[in-house]
Amino acid sequence: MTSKPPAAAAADEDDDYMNMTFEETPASRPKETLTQRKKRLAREAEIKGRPKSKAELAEEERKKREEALNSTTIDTSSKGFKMMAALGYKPGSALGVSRDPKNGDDRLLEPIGLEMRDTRSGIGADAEKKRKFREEVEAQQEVDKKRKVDAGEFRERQQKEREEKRMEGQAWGAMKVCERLEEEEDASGSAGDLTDAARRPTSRPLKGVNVLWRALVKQRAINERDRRIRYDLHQSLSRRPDYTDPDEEDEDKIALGRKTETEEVDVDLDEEDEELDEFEALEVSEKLTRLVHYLRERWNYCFWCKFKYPDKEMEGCPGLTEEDHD
Amino acid sequence: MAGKHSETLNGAPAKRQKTSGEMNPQDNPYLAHWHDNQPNGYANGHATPPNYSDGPLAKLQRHKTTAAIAKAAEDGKINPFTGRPLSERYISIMRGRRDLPVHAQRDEFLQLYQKSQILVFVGETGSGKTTQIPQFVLYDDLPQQVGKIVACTQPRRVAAMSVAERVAQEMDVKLGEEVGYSIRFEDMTSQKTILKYMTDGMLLREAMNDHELNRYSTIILDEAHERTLATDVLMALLKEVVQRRPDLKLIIMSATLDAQKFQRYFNDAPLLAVPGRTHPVEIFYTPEPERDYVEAAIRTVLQIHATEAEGDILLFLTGEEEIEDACRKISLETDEMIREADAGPMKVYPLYGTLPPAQQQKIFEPAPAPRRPGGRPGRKCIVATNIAETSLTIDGIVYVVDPGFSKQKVYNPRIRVESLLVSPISKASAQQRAGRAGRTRPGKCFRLYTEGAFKKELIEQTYPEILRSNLSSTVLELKKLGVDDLVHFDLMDPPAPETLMRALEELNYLACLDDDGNLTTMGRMASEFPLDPALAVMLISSPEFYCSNEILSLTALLSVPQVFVRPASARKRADEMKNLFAHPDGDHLTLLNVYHAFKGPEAQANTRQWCHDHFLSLRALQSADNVRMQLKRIMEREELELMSTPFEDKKYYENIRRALVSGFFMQVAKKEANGKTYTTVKDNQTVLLHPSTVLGQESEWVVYNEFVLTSKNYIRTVTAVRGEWLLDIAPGYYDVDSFPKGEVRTALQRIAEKVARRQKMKGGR
Repeated sequence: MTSKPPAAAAADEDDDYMNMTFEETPASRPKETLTQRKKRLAREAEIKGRPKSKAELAEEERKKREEALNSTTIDTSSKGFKMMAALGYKPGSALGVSRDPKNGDDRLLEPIGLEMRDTRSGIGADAEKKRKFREEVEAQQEVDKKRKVDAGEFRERQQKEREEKRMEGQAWGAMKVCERLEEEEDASGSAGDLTDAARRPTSRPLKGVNVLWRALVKQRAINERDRRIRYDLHQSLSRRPDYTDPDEEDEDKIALGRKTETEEVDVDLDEEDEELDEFEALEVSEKLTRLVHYLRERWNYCFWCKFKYPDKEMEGCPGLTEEDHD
Repeated sequence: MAGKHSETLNGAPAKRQKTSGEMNPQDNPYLAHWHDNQPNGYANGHATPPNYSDGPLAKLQRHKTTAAIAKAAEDGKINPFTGRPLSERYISIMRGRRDLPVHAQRDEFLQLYQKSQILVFVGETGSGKTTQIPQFVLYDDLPQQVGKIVACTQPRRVAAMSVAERVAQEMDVKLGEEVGYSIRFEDMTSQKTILKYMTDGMLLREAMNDHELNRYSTIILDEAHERTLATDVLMALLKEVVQRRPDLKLIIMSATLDAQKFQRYFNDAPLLAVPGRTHPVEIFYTPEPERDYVEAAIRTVLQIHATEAEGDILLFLTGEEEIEDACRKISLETDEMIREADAGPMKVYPLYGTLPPAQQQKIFEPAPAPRRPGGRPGRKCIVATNIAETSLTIDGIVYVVDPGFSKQKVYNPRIRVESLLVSPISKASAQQRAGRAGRTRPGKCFRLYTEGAFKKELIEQTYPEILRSNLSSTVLELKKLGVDDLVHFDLMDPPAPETLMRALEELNYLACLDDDGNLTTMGRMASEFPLDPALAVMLISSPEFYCSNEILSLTALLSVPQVFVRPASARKRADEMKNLFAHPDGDHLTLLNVYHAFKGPEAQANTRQWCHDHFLSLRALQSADNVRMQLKRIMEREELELMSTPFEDKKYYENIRRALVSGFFMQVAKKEANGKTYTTVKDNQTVLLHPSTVLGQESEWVVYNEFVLTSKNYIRTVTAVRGEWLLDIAPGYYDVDSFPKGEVRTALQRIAEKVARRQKMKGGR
């Protein structure tokens, strides 16, 4: 009945049998226990056995059809193709007699596609539907894009803020370095002058401090004052710090830790300081640049290398900016 | 069974040997003209050249006639072709003929016809070209003088019949004598015939046996713009034949625009255009695309009836069901309009191909009169398929409603589906439809789509049928026609290479072509049958299954329109009646049961009543009867034995089912594991059994007659078969190794193993 000898058929069977079991062999799922496997098989069987919904079936049907319609069936091993090839057919060419190109060659290379319609919608209605859908999609995309732009801006702003904060910190750091270096200089410059060396920077009038790091000094002074006020408040309990009891004795005052000095600094702090305001108004990056320059100019100190070079050339420093030091 | 079967297989070639050689030409009806009266050379059988020495045609010389000479001959007392006196009717018809637009250009036509071997003639519908041009040719070509015939092809059988009848009247001759027609399964010609209307398919079949078409002096291909498969093949063939036969003249007649394409194709043949008698047609578009074109069409018709002036309406829809449905709705709504708004009466007529001719004729009835004197005028509304687009001319149409769709044949070799699908029409079609409104006076055409959609969505020209068809039948014909180089065959629009490849492959599987592409004995025999190769092969193989009588009936039944009638008003009753004939194994066997019952004494006593009672189409069954008779003749000629398995034999139905497989093994589907759906073998398409099937869901394998594409994939007319039969009967196609991995392959493998085991057991004993 069949042309195939039984032995060959049996061999085929073996082959296929092997193949089939191989796919399900536990080797491919090494960690599966017997119960897991049982459960999995049950689950799979359930999925397989579940009747598909009409929509699913229709979708499956459509998919298969589209797939077949979109793939060429020209198969050089087919007998049909061989017959054509024997007549001189070359894949990719059209049938018939070649055309005068000036009249246009409209011979088919591919079969005409099938367009299925499942509604009674009129000519152009589908296109209209598609157009509307496209417009909606485009509108949505526009919104999304805008949102994205906003998000981008937000990110940018955040990044900028972060950057500024970082630079702010660096500026404070640079100021501290400036102060320290000046102190060191003062100390070494007037090594013998002990009174000078012993003098606290705060004792200097605020306006005498270089504007570049005056803010640091001022801020420290403010912090100091605040701390003291708080302290005073704690000490004096119910008494307002600025409250001066006319009956109080001077000794008492001293005992209560209120010094006249404070008053001076306070005056100094509340004073108008245009120079400082001007400097403070600068962009933080500019402030930092100025500080870095100042450090280099005055002390041959590179803020980024964190190193004081011995001479003006500052050999070994890669450059002026932070990026140079990356 | 297997052993028995292979015995018959071995026996068969020997039996066929007798017919495999050249058939005796004397027996071939297509070649009858070669042998009739050969001595005097008058191939169409006139013993002597009729009347031309003394009749009205005496003064006429071949290819020298002018309009004046012809007119004189036409206006004589005696019929120039029969020698009988002319009747009153002839004279009255002649007056109308002289008014037709083509008549004004008779001289011009004759000059071009005489001068050129090939002529392209463009005449709009209503110009009179189909009836008049062949007669103009008769008076100049005088085919009877050389013993030849003038042929005029028509794409449709009905057109060939009705035009032949009309022209026979015009020429005052009896239909079937001087003027006849020839369509598949019906030859209405005689030895006297000098003008033959025929379907293009018929001329093609004749060419298969007479490659030079020697019996014709002039061939007119009418309605060439329709670009049917047969017309396209004929054009390519005739393009070659005219080179070999300088005496053969060829006229290509087209009703539309694209005439330059024909001219170019026929090496710049001269062109003659005759304007039709048309009035301007105003075209209206909808501002918005329609959500439901049928509903919109009905609405538009009612609106026209309510607001527009007198004039009939033509609405184009796509198919029988849609048309009947629309007719019913329009009638209902009109009745209401008459009751409530004193609207005029409106008669609604359906028109489609499968409608009985008597009902088709109704569309020519005049519009109803006003309900009372001086009341609003009545009108008729014809709801038609695209038959009414070119081939049928209905006077009085003033309004055309065009939703822009028609049912078109589509074929795609990638899924091997040939089906009818509702598709948008082309711009050319839309213009043609609009033109129908301007036949009697200025008209209006309402297009149910926007102007933008007309410009953007519609293709310029409808794709010719050859690009939308399975070509296995055509390829077989071409092989028989002696066309060997199918790759370079000069078709006007060559099909996609994949389509040809598929056709060759299918014919090879059907054993009609060998591996080198040569026609086999089977192929040669199959080409004798005017059938699809699969049906022909099934029929030829049927004696091997001891059921050729039954398969012959079945083949006839599958070649005619639907046998079962299922009116919307009585679906349940119709289904009950169908169930009386149902065979559990499938629709093919059910059809056979119907036929056998129809041939039984009870039914034959009053066929009309019996068919009506059983919801069967008498016309389809009678037609099947006729087809069966024709096919039987071919079988006898081919010496194919007619036999039946005794009905009591338990193999009676099994043999028929096996025979089915021998032809339709490429149309098999296997049930999918999930139960509901089937998968077509090889093409791997998911399909559903058509709801009309009598077959339950339990069959693992089915053969199907038809793959129907609607919104779903359906297979229609299905019968259950057994997997073993596939491997047994078509081992070449069911070579398991050639199948892609999947359910089908696994199932086939299992069957193969089972069969092998069984054989081994037998062998061991």
